[in-house]
Formats: sequence, C-alpha cells, structure tokens
Amino acid sequence: MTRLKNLSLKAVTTAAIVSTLGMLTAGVASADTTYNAAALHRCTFPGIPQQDVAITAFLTGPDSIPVNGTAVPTNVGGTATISAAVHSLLTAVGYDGIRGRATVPVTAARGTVSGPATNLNIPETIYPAGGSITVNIAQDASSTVPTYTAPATDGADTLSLGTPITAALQFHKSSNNTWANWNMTCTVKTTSPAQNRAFSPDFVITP
Amino acid sequence: MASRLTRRTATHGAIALACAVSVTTGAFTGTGSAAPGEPDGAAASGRHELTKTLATTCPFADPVGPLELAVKTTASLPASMTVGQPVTIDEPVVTFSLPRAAAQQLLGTAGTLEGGLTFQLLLEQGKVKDTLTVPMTIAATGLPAEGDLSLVATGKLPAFSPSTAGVLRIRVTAPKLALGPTGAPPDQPAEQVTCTTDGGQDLSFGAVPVLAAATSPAGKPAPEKKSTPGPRTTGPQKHSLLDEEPPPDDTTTQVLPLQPNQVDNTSTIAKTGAVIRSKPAVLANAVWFRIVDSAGFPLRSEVTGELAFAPVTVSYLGYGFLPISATVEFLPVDYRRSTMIHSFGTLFDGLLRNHLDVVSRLSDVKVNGVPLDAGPDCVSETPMAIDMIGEYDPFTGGLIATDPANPDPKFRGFTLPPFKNCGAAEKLSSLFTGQNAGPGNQASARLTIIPLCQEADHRNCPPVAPIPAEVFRKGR
Repeated sequence: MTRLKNLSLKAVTTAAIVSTLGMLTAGVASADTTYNAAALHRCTFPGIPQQDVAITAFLTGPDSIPVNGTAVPTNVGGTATISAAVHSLLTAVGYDGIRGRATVPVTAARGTVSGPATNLNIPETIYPAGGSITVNIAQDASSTVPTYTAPATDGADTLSLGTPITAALQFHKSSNNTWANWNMTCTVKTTSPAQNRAFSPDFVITP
Repeated sequence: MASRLTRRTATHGAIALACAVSVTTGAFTGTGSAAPGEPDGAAASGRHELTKTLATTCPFADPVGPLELAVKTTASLPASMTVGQPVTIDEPVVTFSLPRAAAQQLLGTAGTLEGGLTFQLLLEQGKVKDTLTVPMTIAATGLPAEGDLSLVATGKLPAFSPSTAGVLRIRVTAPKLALGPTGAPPDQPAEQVTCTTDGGQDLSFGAVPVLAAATSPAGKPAPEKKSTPGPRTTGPQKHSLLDEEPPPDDTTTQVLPLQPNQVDNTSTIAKTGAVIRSKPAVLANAVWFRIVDSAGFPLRSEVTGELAFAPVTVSYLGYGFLPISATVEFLPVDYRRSTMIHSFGTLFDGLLRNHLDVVSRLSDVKVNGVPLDAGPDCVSETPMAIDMIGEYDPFTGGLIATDPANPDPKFRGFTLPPFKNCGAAEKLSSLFTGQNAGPGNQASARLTIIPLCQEADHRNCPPVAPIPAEVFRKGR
C-alpha cells in the first residue's frame, strides 16, 4: 500500500552580515538560531484536483546579523504532510513511495535573498499504508541555498515562505518497482485572513 | 512445408488447428493406441475419458494465505481425429477441494461460494504448438456440515478442426481462480488467484492421433466450422440495501474528486463482427470513495462517475454478405429521462474493475442502402451489463476491457439482449435480435486523464479534447 509522505520543506534562511569580512565573524558570532515557518498549501497531484498539504519549513542562522551583512543559512529543510485520503488513493492505484527534489522560494521584508533554495532533497521513502504521511525535505550537498543580505538599518527583518513551492517528484509503483515522474506545484491556500508565512523569530539586525 | 497451428474463430475464443503439413503416418489408427495420458477407462463410443491431477499452489491473499490444492481436470476426447473434420473436447470439468478454514474465510457471512477459473490446454503437434484457454464457471456451492468444500467448474470448448495429420499431444496447466461469496456487492469482487504447478510434474493430459483425410486434398482449407458459443456470462451481482450492514463505527470514510477522463470505447458484436468505435467520451463527476477499518485495511475502494456516448454509425455484413448500416447508441438505463450513464468500479492496487449498465438503441438502419425504419424506440429489452477489468494509473490513465480468458465469468464478455419496439411499418425486433443479440461480445475502454487548468488565467492553459456536442443532446 502506498503512502504519500509529507513534503518537508526546509525553510531557506539567510544569515546576516555586517560587512563582507564580518560575515563569518560578527554575523555568526553568537549562537545559531533555528527559524521556523508553516503554511497550508494547495498542491497538485496526479489524477485529482489540487489538495491541501501542510508545509513547515526551518533553517538555521545566526542570532543576529549586522546591517548590510550577509549570511547563508544552514540546515535548511522542512516537512509536507499529505492527507490520509490522498495517501489512500495513491495506495489504491498501486503507489507506495516518493522521492525527488524541491525548490522553495524565500522572501525578506527589508533585506534581500539571492534566490530560492533549490535542489533540496526529498529522500526516497516507502511508506506503509494508512494514515497521513509526512514527507521530509532536507538540504544536502547538491542543494543550493541563497544568500541573505541584511538591510542597511538595524532592527528586525522578517523572512517568509514564497510561492509557489515546487518539487520534481517521483512516485514508486510497487507492482513493477518503477518510478513515475510528477512535477508538483504548491501555492499558498487562500484564507481569510491570509496565512502568516513568516519565519519566527525575526532576524535581528544589529548596527 | 511449414507447419503451424492457427486459430480460426467465428467469434472470440473459438479455435481451430490450421494446417500446413500433410503428414500421413497411419500409425494411429487404433482407438486404443492413442491417448497416452491418463485414460480413466476404455474408450466408449470412440472417445477417451482423460483425467489429470496436478499439485498446485494458489497464493490467496491474507487471511486465507497460500493454499496447496490438488486440481483434477477431466474431459472427453475423441479416440482419433481426421484432418478437416470438426472435433470437440467434451465435458471439461475441473474439481478441487478447498480447505474448510479457507472456505470459511472466503465465505464470510455468505452461504455459498461461486466464481470461475481458466486453465490452458497446451496443444502440440510435432513442432507446431498452440494454446487454448478454457473458461469455466463454478456454480454457487455451500459449505457442507463437515469437511472441506468441494468445488466443481464446468464449461464448454469450441469445436476445432485439425488440418495436419500426426499426433496431437495435449498438456494442461494450473488454473487461474476467481472465487467470491454469492451475492457479494460489486465493491467486493471475487478474488483472483493465479495458481502454479508444483515442480517436477508431468503435465501430459492426453494424445490423439490425427488421421489424414482420404477425401480432402492436401492443402485444401478445412471447411469452416461455426464455433460453439462460449459459456454464458453471469449478470452483475445485484444487491439489496436490506442485505447491507451499516459500516461499523470504527471505519473511516474518505472521498476525493477525480479529474475527468476521456473514454475511448470499442465494442465488438460477436454475431456480426461489427465493431463499434465510440467517439471520445468523458467520464465526469468522478469520485473515489474508500472505507477503511480501524486498522487501515480497505473495506471498500470505489470509483464512480457519469458517462455519455455520442451516437455512432456502424457498418457490417448481415449474415455474412448483406451490407447493413445503423446508428448505435449506448444509453443509460433511464434513457428517457437522463443522458448520463452511471459508471461504477472498484480500485485496488491499481486494478480497476468497472461495471456499466447500458441500453442499446438502433436507428437509421439501412439494408443494402435501403432505409429500414427502425422507429424511435428500438432498444434492447433489458440493459446490458458490461464488466471490464484492467490497470488504471493516475499518471498514464488505463485500459480496461473484457477478456474471454478471465477466470471470472463476468469479465469474459457481455451479452446483448433481444431488441424491442423496433419497426415503424413492420415488426423488426425479431430481425434485429436474431442478427445481433447474444453472448460473447467484447468491449474495451481506454481512459486518459484530462489535465486540469492550474493557471490563474485560464488562457494560459492548453486546449483539451472537447466534449462532443452530441453528448449533451437531450434524450429522445
């Protein structure tokens, strides 16, 4: 039986730097902090209309970043939870595993981010039948994590999950041990009020 | 000369041994000298009663699990055959005993088990080989008060005409089984199991000498033999709401809408050979419905939807020589008030078993180019039940079809009922019934998922196959 796991989305974090040279000293001088975000998305699946997927993201960055400083987050990753109903349907049509790569855009309220986090790994996983599944997404050696550049003034800056989140997935068919390609696109679910896609806590920008 | 065995069928499933060799050995003239298999007794009336028992393993799903079954096959074969002369393998019977515990598991709360099986006869004449799939039906059988459940499968084989002299050797294979409780609802299809023979067994069933035809010149085609109709397929399992227990409280129901599917359907009418290729249709309002128990085990997994076919014009030769054309429609059971056919299927492990009940309507009939007024309501007396089976995949779609070799009789083809209300100026129902009605008709449907537009601006989406305007026309 097939389960769809959550697509873990690793939030892309950027650490701040005061100056080019200070990047590895001033910006990361203090202890690292884990920043988290979460939002409900609507994702495409084969054979059915878009479905709800709960996406979380995390990244590790410095506690504070000097103004105009830059930082490259580490430990970028996350999860995506696929509902039991969708998992059951995949099971019913003979699919039991998933693997692939994800691209996660990240935005900054005041600073800048050099681009989306790309090629985040969704490790090959075969899921037992029944229930919802959580797909993990993690940064690995082939991933590209963007650089965050802090604003010119101190204070706080907010990173947020961008949209759409995309994933080049493969679903595993158990009967013949083959993998079927699927390009998944996830857009933030429209709600009222709008969902908060910000990473928490805010980045601290120091003078 | 090259030798080969070919199938010669008037309808699907009929076979014949076609000849290319004219070997005359004369070595098999005595009835007692043939049949080196396991004759049960002496030849009676020029026929041999053959018996073969195979030790097989049948991998039923849990909780039944794999079963070791002794499968006994018997049949009556002619003591000898003559090139060009039609012969039959009569009274094929397959029996096996189902362990009591396994039978109880398969029965559930039902009183009887029923279903079908297929096995193969491997025909070999010198270097020429062919395979004959034999469909059998297992009648509803109840568990005795004590002991195991003995099941008997019976069927018929079409006649065939050997056209090459020599020795025809016959071997038998392990069966494919389809067993389920009688009266089971459509969402609980009979379990299909492919049995395998345990190693090292002699599969020989018998051997028959084929004598040269004294009156048939070598190389002359054997006379055409009309095939014997295959076993009549059983209708769909009707179920009563009163028989359905409400699901236990610990079940979970899941429902998901499905994307529309384009349906390309083809039907073949056995009697006339007419092929009905429907215009692309759309399976709309499709929903996948599933109930699982507290342990997550699927109790039901169903796909339902609505379907409509546009009328198509079909041309064929009536009685083999008379050009006939007609407009054929497949309509819903309630065709006077609705246009959409309800489609019901079960979906487990990628295998879709689909059921349709449709009424067939004929109009615009022309015989040899001359219009024949069939009237406005020339329809089949009863809906025809069409059961198709095949793999379905959300990435690529699927192909479902009837299959004359399926172990479950209901998937071996559909029966076209007699027609009624045909003819405005003269009564034509009997004519159309005689020409078309009968069992053994085949159907297939290719399912292709129609991609949905995911763009905020629909103008950015590629065009998809339009739904034929005829689909939406109002029923007459």
